Amino acid sequence: MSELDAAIHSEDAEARRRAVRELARSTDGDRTELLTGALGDPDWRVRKEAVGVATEVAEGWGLLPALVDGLCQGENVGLRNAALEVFERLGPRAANALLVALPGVPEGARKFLVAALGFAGGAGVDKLAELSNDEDPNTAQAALEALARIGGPRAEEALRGHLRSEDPVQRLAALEGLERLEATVELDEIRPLLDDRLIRRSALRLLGFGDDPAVVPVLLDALHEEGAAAAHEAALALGRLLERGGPSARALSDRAPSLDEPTRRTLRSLAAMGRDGPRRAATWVLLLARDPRVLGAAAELAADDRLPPVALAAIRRWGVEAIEPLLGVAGELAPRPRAAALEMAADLAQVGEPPAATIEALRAALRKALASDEPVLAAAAADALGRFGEPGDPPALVAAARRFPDVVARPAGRALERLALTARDAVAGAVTERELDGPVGAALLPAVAALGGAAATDLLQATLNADDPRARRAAVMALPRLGGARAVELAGFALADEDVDVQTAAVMVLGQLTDADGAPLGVEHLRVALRAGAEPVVAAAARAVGANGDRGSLAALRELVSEGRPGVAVAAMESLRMLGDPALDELLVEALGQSDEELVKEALRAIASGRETPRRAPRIALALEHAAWDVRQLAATLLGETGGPGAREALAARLEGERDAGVRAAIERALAALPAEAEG
Amino acid sequence: MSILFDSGPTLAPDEFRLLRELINRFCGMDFSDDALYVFERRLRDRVRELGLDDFTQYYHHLRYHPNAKAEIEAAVDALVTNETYFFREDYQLRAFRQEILPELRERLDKENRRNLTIWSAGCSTGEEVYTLAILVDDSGLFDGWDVRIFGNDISRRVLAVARRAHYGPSSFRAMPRRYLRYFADDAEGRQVVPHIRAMCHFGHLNLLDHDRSALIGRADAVFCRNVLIYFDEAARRRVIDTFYQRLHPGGYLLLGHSESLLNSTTAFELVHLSTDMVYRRPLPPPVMSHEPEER
Repeated sequence: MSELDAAIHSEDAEARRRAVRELARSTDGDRTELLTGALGDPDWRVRKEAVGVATEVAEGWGLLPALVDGLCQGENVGLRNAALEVFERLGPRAANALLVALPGVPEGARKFLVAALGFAGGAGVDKLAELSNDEDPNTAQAALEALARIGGPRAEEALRGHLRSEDPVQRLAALEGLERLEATVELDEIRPLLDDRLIRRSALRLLGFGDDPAVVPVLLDALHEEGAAAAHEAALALGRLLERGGPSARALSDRAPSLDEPTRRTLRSLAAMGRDGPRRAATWVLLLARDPRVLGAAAELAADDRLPPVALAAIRRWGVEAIEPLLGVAGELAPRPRAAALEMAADLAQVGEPPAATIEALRAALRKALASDEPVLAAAAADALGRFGEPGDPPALVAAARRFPDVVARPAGRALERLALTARDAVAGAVTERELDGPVGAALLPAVAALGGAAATDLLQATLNADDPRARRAAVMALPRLGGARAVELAGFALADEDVDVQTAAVMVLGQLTDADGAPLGVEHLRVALRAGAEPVVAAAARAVGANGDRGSLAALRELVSEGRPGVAVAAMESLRMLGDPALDELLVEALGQSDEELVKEALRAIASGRETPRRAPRIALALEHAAWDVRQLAATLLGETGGPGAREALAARLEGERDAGVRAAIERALAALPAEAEG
Repeated sequence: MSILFDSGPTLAPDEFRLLRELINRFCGMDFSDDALYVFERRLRDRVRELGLDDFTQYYHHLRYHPNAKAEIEAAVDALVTNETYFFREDYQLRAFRQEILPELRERLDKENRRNLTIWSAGCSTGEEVYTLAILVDDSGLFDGWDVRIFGNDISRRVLAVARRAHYGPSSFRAMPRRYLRYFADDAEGRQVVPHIRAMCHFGHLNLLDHDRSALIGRADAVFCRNVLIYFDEAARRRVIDTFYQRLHPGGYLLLGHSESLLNSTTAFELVHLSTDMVYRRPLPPPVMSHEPEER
């Protein structure tokens, strides 16, 4: 018995798991048998490891027949599930093996093989469509589920064919499959199913994907049915219509303001509590109806970011008339929703022209909230008072910042910075009295800088030596307001700070400082920073010299690409690309072979933006095989943009085996966008 | 910050996916596709705070900056709603007070132990930790024992709040008035009284860090409520495995009302209590005779 064999039969599950990992590199004659055994191990961690190895070696070791056997046997459920997982991971690569094995599989086991076909992509669709009519109801059911997993017009058509099935279970499977595919099915096709109590809920859900405005009254009527289930499904479907936009969403938006009171009452009760989906949908419909009694629910959902931007648009359209109802409801809400209600009221007041009394009511609510014991409330109030505050407000803002440094200091600082434009003396009185340090100092410093003048400049310079690096960093970031040679000098000092973030801030500032003619002032300092030790400082400097067009840094940037720090290399390559470095091409071949995905992506961008050569498309196409989805996706996108010899073939070949939905979509877009000359 | 109007950099779907995957690798949290908007809104402040222009730069910061780990923690803190309150899900706390604590007392007596350890995993701002300490104290079952309630979280900010033990009105929304005696009013609100605070300990711990969780020692009960909902299946398995390892045999695992171990592990046994169902690490079977283990 080999050492590996012994380990894989050990009593200790962890030892078995490690042995399975080793198995991938084994040349033992019985390795296939050992791996199949591991797929059926009693411990899930061993099975998981075996699934990974089996996926890797399935084709090379000729493992597919053994996997089919594992899938179809009936004694070891763990083995069956593991085999199914391997087929899922293999995707279309296993399609042929599964189709070949199908006729020989015992009837009771066919459903498992059919389920595996559901992971095998388009090659299995015709067979699955045929099997969806199989005499064995389990096989037919599995085929419908597999079709729903694969999708595409042919699968949709097959599923649609079963909506009229005599078997209610098949009708339900077809409905659920079409829902999963988000298929648009004509109302006339669904209408008969709405009378079937067993499947009515699924049918209502599917109406959410309908484009026909006639689905709107059907769903609104369903809200009134007895029992909560149908109302939930109808509300969900209404929400889905709104998310998808289109004619039925427009019909619902038009209809909403004239909803009758019983419908509003049902929607209010759905909006008030319960499952998230119906709650969100009901709230959205009532916002379109401009029902003031939904604003509390809207604030609760908005506080947790559970209302999508398109739903929030309904409040924007409502406009200034919603401000007072929002202020009215705010007082009844818990702190976070109350904060959201105040924020929304302030947003509406900022873009609209509310009456003076409404603005005063808003200010009063904000001041009360700023003084509250709840930091989240005080933070929201501080932020809004930047827009609506008056000269009396800065002291309260500073006090709130000091009371809750973690949560309120930053919004209070931003508010004071804005108020410095309209209430300069009040802000100066509030912020320049004390030493600025710590998180509060860091937060208030931009307001000090906004004041300008000798006192503010003195305070800013003093803060460059604060104890807390956050305050020093804030002071550095404020230096562009000072401008000129003095700012360059101070930022240069900050390059020698012991804190990396302060140094990085100094580099960013040096990259921004220019003279009156727009010429960069920080070039010499930035060249020094390119030789600094800390990675973020060097990376920031590399970006800054590129942005400043400093071709004198080309040699240093080339060295940075090759020296082995990925974050620095990415930044340096970005700049070399911006500077149009003629020697960049040599660096790119090496960069494409690096393990860091960001570095490979930047190399791809550089290749794509470089001059057109016969080698460009093949080089980019190499990255279509990269292990990281984002690299493959970028390669596909760039090939679509640049085209070139072999681009279409490379993309089409990759599409066959690509399982990542995002990458597949990018490849399809690229193929559609390829210029005609790239064909052939 | 504006709820109704976009302000600041927008998050592209690819950037969202990269950030989501990076956070998942770091702490096991799993965000759905529709969380793009949540990421965009809640991480914008982080992008601004760091002086960065866009989310790609932020992703690079999280990948390459020497303090990237601290920034990922800050991102997680911004993304997760940490809101909690005293005596949350009181039906479960009743079961804990009336059935689990007496059972633990009886069993620990038999084992001649006079120490009780409870772990609140993902304790947020500390309300659950202090609630458990109050319940143990109020029960009178462990007077004079060495009682430790340990709370951990991945966010340093919430741990700082927990250690201060000062709470505003919303933290008390579900607390029966009779427990007010465990708090002292002061200018900042209410603070937990010193003898309860002395029972409680807080630590910074990523639940996926199996090795560091050994710092907690063995626990008699683990509360992990409304935390696993954020995790993907693989991470959930790892965390539950950690709980299993850290519990004494016979120790209890209490999850949130919408959470279960279905599909995750079979190592725990389900225990039906009068107002709740909880999980327990099985006790070893009693030794009936001294037969040799191998023949």
